Amino acid sequence: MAKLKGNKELLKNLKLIVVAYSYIEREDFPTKASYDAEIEVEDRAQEVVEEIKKLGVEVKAIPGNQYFLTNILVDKPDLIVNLVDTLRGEDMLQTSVPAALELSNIPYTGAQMEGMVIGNNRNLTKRLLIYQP
Amino acid sequence: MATTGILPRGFLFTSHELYDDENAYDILPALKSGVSLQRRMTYQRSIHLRSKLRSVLECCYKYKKVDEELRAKISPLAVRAFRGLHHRDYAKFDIRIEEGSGISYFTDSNPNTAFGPDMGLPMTEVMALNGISFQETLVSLLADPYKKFAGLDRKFRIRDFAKRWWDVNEVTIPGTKRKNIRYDRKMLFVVTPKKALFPKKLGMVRSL
Repeated sequence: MAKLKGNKELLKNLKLIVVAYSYIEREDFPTKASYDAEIEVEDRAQEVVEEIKKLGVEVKAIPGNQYFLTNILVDKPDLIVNLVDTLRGEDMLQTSVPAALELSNIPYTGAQMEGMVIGNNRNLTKRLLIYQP
Repeated sequence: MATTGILPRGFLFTSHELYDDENAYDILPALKSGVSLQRRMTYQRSIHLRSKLRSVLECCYKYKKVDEELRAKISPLAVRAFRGLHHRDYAKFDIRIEEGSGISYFTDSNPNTAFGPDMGLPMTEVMALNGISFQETLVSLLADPYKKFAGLDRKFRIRDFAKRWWDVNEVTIPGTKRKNIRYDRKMLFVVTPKKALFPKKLGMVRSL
């Protein structure tokens, strides 16, 4: 059975982890149903927060909205778990979060800008997969 | 249809098959007919469809390990795709296997797939299928925030070094193979030419 690398000892170096999640507003979605489908990310982020708490690390959830960069600059977390997959209801804008995190020079989990742009663009994905040397 | 995903450091959680059920929802024809789901999504808001797909997956699809032969074939491709597409930490691929020829088609990648302890989420469920708990995934994700490096010599940009002059490594003791955490509070900083990372002239040897 495959095992993941990772040692809980190393977590002691982390003072604060921030879980960034998509900020969902009703006005960004055309229908109530589509809004309801997306609002669940808040609960999911909360579940991740609870799981990280179990590891004994202080953790905080911050929505990915216009105040996001300011918030993380104030809190200065050691690491950000990036779960933001939409901004103002647009998938393509999720790149804004790694961009802000690169500016703030705080390490984060998940793909960087480049990976997210590629992941959101199926045309690009296929071209890259074909042309892999 | 099979989905697979990989994590950093070359780890791969195996691909699996999705089975549909007789009482399928109206989205299934899209999946069956081979029409790109993305193309269908242009007709409706993708988010709406995504939640619908999720409910379909919950009710009609079961994740199942694929046979070893197929896994061995897809795994290196998935690792290669993961790296080639500049993903990091985790991602989910949608892969279709053509019946008969057995050719695998990577139809979609999502480097920001739903992440959480909830078993309804594809990644969590597939990880569990392979005996990896969500907690374990989290530890692996969080324990080395600077990535890539556990047990390896590290390169830092000067500005990163200035901020972070300490280092923590998980080191395997050669004789006993036991793992040990080593805190390097005083790192030696050597400036080398770009092509000579560990100059022999200075007696430098890679640790691994």
